[in-house]
Amino acid sequence: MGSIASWFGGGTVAAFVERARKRMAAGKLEDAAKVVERGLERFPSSNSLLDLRLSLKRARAHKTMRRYEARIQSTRDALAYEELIKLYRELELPDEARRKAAEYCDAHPQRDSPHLVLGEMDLLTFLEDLSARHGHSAHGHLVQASNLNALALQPRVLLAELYFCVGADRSLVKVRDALRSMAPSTTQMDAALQVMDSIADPHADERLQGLFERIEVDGQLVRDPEDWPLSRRASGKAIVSEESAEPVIQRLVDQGVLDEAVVLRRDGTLMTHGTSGGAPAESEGTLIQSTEARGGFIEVVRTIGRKVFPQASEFDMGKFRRCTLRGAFGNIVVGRVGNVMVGVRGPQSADPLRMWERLSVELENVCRGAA
Amino acid sequence: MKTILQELNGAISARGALVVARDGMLVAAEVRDGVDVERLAALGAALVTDVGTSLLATGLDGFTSVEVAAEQGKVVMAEAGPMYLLVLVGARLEIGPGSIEIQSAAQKLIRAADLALN
Repeated sequence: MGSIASWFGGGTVAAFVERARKRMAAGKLEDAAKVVERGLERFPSSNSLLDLRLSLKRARAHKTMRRYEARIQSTRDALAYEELIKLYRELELPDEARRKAAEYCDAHPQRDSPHLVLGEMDLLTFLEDLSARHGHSAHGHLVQASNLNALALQPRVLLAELYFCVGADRSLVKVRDALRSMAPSTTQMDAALQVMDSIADPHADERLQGLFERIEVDGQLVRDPEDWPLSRRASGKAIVSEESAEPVIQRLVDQGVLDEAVVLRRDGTLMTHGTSGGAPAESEGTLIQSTEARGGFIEVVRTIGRKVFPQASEFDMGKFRRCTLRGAFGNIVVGRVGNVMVGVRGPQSADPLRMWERLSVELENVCRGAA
Repeated sequence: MKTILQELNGAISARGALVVARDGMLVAAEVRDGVDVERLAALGAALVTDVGTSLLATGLDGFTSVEVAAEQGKVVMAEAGPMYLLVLVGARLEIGPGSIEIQSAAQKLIRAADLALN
């Protein structure tokens, strides 16, 4: 494996991207896809190549989408709805999937599956942006899916996850009892039941309305979704730990690629902080407010994670990539990598996208290597 | 100012554009159907006040531009003299704070603000 400097300095990722784009422009989608796959064999975490792979998948799926759409228009075929929604989700087009699922709900009001799709998508969004609106919507759709299909396991599993994360322990008791009577015994399900047994409280005083709103205001969940044994999101996602993040951050700062970098956990506490100026101004794992220059950057990253991303998610723009700030201070880029929020600061002369890609690729590689 | 925002929306097929003062107050807005102007203004205010305040507390100057990029769209904010211009666009790679259309609209806004003051 070549050094990181050779990946970017030598422009190898850029070369793969350029070759693939030329083939795309010439309408040679299959050839372009081969170039992208070859590029990803060498640089599996390159955002540019992953974006291009997605664009190609979308271009190649166009005919299939039109075929399903035609079936829906002519017969309102439930299977065509389901296939098209599934395809939209695979192509990471959440707004289209959501719109089609809403249309499916109207066309087939007695079917539980569109509510399950909408509930799952809203749950995913809620766990990312913590907005009460998405929490309520997820809850409503999942309850509706459970009511429409008394034997459906998946909406109940997702409801249990939602209740677990927001600390709705009384509701968790009910869904736990339903799952215990319905679900087959598997290692993961048994682990989930065990977790629910240990925390579910039939006497808890709770109102879901208040719980969702409180989480939005606090900017953090009651329990980490990664502690939920049935979470499908945890698998395949880079799990960044302090041990894996610290050397990466320090190396990039020492090499002068970044002036400063911060890694925050989901709850906003500090995981690691590297700066060309020396030791961090905030203790690891704490939320000490600091107005000192170095501690202040942590607060900038935290503010973007808590205020900007949730508010921007109100505009149905799909999955967030990053927030880039430019000014006399240089360039600041903030985004999510796996389970953490990362912020980097570099000089004005640095390309923010390259700066970001360099860090995120390294972090993901280290995490995959450690897994 | 509304005319400038309308022209910008048309030129880059933006979903909406607005102007916020440095204290986060909404100055002018022009959005297409389906975009909640209050929510967009709240995002503008959060960027200017919350992020701006945390930058100043760090000892860093305020930002000159912000770009919040998502898979199917982005929010672009650019300095326009004493104000900020915020634009909500689709996922067009070429549109950013430095785009000629956004910079041109920012210059027009500065001139309009000067005229209003003089």
